[in-house]
Amino acid sequence: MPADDLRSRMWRELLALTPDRWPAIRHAVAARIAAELLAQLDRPPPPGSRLHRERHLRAERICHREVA
Amino acid sequence: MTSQDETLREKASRLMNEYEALGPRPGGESAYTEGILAYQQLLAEYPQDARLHLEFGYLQECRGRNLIRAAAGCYERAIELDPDWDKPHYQLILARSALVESERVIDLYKQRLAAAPDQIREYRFLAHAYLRNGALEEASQVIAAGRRLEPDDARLLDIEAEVLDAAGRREEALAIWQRLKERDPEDLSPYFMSAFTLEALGRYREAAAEWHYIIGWMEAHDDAVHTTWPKEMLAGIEAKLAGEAS
Repeated sequence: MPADDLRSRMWRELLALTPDRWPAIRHAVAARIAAELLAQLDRPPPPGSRLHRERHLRAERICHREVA
Repeated sequence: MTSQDETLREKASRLMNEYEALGPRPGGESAYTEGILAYQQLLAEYPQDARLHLEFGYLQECRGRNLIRAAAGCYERAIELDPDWDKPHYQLILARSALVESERVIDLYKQRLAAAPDQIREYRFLAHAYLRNGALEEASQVIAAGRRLEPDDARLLDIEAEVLDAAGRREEALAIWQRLKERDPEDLSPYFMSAFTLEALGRYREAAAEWHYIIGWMEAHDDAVHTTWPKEMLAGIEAKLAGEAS
């Protein structure tokens, strides 16, 4: 049996054995993925990035009354 | 503040300033309506006056921004009323991005993701928010994280194609759109995206083929009213092809 088939079969059987646990497992894994991602994204935007430039643009607009 | 000997030009300028300051607040709408009339009258008399064109344009720009802000409010209300509907989220992201309010919209979708980390739609929304605000690296990070949860998500794939396209990796983007077309021929989005990218690459014949498909699909699905603009795009490309041939 090819390795991929074996892996997917094992995975299916595991899910079948623990149907009630699966949502909790998925949620726990997802929470970790999201936490890692959000920690990465929470770093300030690097100078030269568009988000960084946008902060300056907004400040300039306010200075020059260019916001409706 | 008005004065009796105020000229029409002074009046127009005053109304523009009032609308700029008040927007949708009391007094703003009437200033806008009167201001438009004043500028139209002035421009009919002085069509070569650059300053008048600037001020008239700016008055309309202020109005446009306020209308987009009002639209964003409508999308927020639609989201409150129907939290499971994705469409108003994408519209909200576009509207806030048009208002140069990227941090506001990105923060909103970060918070939503933190609150519902197992919902793939939250990764799609956040990736889309970054993409629409030109933050391609961040959009890619979100796509990669979402893929750990749902490796084969078509919407994330579509957003990835746009990220690649925006980064100048157009062949890779086209390859993804080709995959998406094969997966769901009824979804026109990858055809539109391919048409733009092929035109940008100067591959006009292929771009024209995309527009032909889009127009044919719309006509076959009783949506001829939306073919006007695709037909204009096709005509533009055919003109370029004719230019190449001559």
